[in-house]
Amino acid sequence: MNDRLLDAFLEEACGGAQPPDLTDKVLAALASPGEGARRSTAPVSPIPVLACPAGAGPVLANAARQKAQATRGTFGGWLPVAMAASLLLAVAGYWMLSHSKTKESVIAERAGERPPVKQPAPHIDTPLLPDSAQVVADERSSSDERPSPIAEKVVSSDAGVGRQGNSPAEKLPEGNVPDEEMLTPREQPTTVAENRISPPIGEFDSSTAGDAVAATSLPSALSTSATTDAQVTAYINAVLKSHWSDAGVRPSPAATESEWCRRVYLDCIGRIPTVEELEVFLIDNRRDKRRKLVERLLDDDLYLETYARFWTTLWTNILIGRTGGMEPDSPVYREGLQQFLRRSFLTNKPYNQFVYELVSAKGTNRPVEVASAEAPYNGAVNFLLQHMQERATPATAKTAQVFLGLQVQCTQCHNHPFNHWKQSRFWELNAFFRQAREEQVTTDGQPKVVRLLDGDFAGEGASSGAGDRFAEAEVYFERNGILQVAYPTFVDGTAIDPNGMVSVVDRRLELARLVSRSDELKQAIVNRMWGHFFGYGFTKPVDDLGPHNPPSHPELLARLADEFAGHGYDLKRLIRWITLSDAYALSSKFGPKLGNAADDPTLGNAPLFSHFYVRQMSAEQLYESLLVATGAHRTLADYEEQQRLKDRWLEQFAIAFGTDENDEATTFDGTITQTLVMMNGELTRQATNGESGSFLSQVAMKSERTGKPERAAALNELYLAALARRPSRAEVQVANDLLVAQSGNTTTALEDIWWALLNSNEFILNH
Amino acid sequence: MAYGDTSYSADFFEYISAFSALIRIMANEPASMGAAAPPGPEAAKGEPPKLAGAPSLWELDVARIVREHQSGVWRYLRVLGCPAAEAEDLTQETFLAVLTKPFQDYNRQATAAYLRQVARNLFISGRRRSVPIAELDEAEAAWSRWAGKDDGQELLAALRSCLQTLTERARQALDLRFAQQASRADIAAAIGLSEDGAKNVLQRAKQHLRECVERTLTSERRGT
Repeated sequence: MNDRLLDAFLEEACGGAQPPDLTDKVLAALASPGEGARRSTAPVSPIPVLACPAGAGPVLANAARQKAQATRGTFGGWLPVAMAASLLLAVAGYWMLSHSKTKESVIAERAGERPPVKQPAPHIDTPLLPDSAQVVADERSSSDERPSPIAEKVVSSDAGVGRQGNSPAEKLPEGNVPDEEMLTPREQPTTVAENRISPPIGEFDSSTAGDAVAATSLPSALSTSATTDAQVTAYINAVLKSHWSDAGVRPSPAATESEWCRRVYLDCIGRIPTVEELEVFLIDNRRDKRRKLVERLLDDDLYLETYARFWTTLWTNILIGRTGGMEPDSPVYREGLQQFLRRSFLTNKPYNQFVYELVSAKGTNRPVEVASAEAPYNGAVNFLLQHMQERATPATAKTAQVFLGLQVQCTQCHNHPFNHWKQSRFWELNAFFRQAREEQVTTDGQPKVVRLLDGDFAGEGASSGAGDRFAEAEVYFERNGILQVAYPTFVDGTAIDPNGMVSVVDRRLELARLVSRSDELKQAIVNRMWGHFFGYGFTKPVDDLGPHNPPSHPELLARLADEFAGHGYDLKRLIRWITLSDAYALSSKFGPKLGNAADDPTLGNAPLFSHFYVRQMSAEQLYESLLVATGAHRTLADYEEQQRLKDRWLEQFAIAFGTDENDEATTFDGTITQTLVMMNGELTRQATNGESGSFLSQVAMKSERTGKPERAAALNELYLAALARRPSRAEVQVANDLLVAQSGNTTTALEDIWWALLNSNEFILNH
Repeated sequence: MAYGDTSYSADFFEYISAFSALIRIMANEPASMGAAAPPGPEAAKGEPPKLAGAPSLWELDVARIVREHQSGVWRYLRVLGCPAAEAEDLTQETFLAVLTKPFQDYNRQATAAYLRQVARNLFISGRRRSVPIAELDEAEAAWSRWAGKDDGQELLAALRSCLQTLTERARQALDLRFAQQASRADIAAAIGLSEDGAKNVLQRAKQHLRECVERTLTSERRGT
């Protein structure tokens, strides 16, 4: 008799979990088949997934450090090396102690004694109607503004939860809008006029082709929802709290202000805050300072360029990968796509318009003279140009994956193994791309100039047909050895006229219209953005939605998607909702003592977001953060030069597999390459260089000017710059020992400290 | 199972039922005979599920079927490795999956085997097929041997009886561990031992129970 059998029956025999009586439930579900079908969206089981350990930071290697010492001149020696190593160990130890689970918890887990966590039941709204909800309803009715149903539910559920006992959740930071503020009559629901953050469709003056079509074919991107930002954020809080309660976990305590500040800078604009930015935030005493910081990062002219650059980099990687357009003979002009993306993010283009333009893009890939009036320069074409080979099958798969969150690539050859998607579905989607033509423009040598246009498509069997050979332009595919036919049909079953003449039906325009209006679009982007800010989306991976992979919080995903669409597909608004939620402001510490040891997605559990999930910075975030931490960003050249330097630095981590699906991998996460680059790379060498004029030399000058207080200030500045916190007492002690070992040479001591800080786990992790 | 064993025919029938159910599920074809049938064209059209020669869903005593088999399915899922809440969800899914399609309650054994097979498929599918098959096979073998005949009723009774033969302290430790989900530290504190001591108590108690239950069930089946 094996242990599992014995344990299961022992639990029952001892009075633990008992077999349920499901008779009534099953009968009720059978009586209403729709209900039964909907039940299947419940989080039936946590999907065991293998996630990379977040804390895969670099490890100190004496040999590497010795090399750095050797370049430093006469002050080198074994003692400073040991001191630097001990400082690094102290930093790592401090961080590990404060963020890892306790020894007892590890032992308990190894012994398999961690109490199983009940999976959250499918959560329906928790309308705990408090008095205040009625107040809001009255206020709204008095101002003739009827709140949406969600608004009412949000208010009531949050207010109800907020009155519960002394749970750690109540100690959450104030940055999240308090109930009073949410309910105040001063805060009016968003109106159409207020929400014109981005230029309305049709007015956007882009040099891209297809905008005119976009203006006439897209649904309105203006806000139609009466829900305020505060209400949506409150709804997020209420749903997550409900799931914590269902699962029997407690949320971690709130993160410190500097931790929150660091993570919001990293997630919104892709870099850590400077010391000045951090101090400005910390000394601000206003209650809504968190909201103000998020708004500043998203809307202030000072940060707009950085914001656009960060999201451009992210989306370039999503659309064409880290290696797309890097080969000399590639038809893709990477900078062209980045220009399109940057312009989109600078103007906060509505997401559905953004997608519409990418899917329907026509024109020339580069700004060259040969770009004609029929095919003007349009950077957006570079997305599809990367994926047009092999009968546009990569374009089909990529479009479905990125914009619809559907991984259909395997259905190119067979039915989906885990759900009902058929092979025909892939080819029906593929038929939308078959009018697209990639034309190489004859120019003298490099660079390659390519046009993406649409031409009449007569179907794959047209040569043998008679009559109007364009009337039914079909696509063939092989299924179980038999040739089958497919016509353009969207994933929701919407079929369009199969005529292959562009003048009759422009298939890509139709596809762009269908994609931009689909439910999948809004769910996919909400899931992707949630995953960006929390480290885990509602599904894993974020771009694999479907019946085979139910989301961890289906009701939250659905509501956020609806609100996102209702607010004009405004990405910045979505960012505000997420970053100002309670869950985003929780500490990354977790464990049995905090009551949420079970919320560990690295073990395969569905995420509950009861603490902040620690994760490593991306290569792009690290690059920008290194520049900021060392002050190098102030002296860099123009945008193109910055981008070129950055791409060159990032190149070393990207590997293209050259597969049909343009797969690629990064060697950045916790690899030897990354460790060596951090220890001995040019950027680190420059960062830890105490030469005149450098960041370090300025800090050292302050320190050497006078005595101990100034030294402490310099040390503080280094810690704030790298880790957004001040040093602990033990760390100060190690730093002093280091200074003594360097015979009072402050610059050299600071170089060692700085090097150790930049190579610590705490620096490289978003925590 | 061995040739000449008196349980041969029942086991064999169970095996054949389960296997044929699996084959039909995989092939997604209507069954012409057997204990249970996968969906047919009527079900797809939303009509009352009915198969030629089989009673419609409403002619079946659905409540009886659910009552009769729910504990077995739930226990079986627990043995496969489901936490209690997940097992409850999957049990419900199993009945819905089976009863919303044409289905024939041929006999208790065959229906139980079919339900378990569907439950197993749902379990594997829910885990995205990442469940180690060897572990599943081991769990299934243990289920078949010790609990397969009566959905574990006999095993449960034997276990309850054997629990009475334990010392008070061992019972308390097991109760804390399995009924209250206490940590080892809490168990140790409650029974006044070190954590290692508590671990030893639990292990010894489980070993005693294992031997006692195996002895009891074996002797009962032999009729001694």
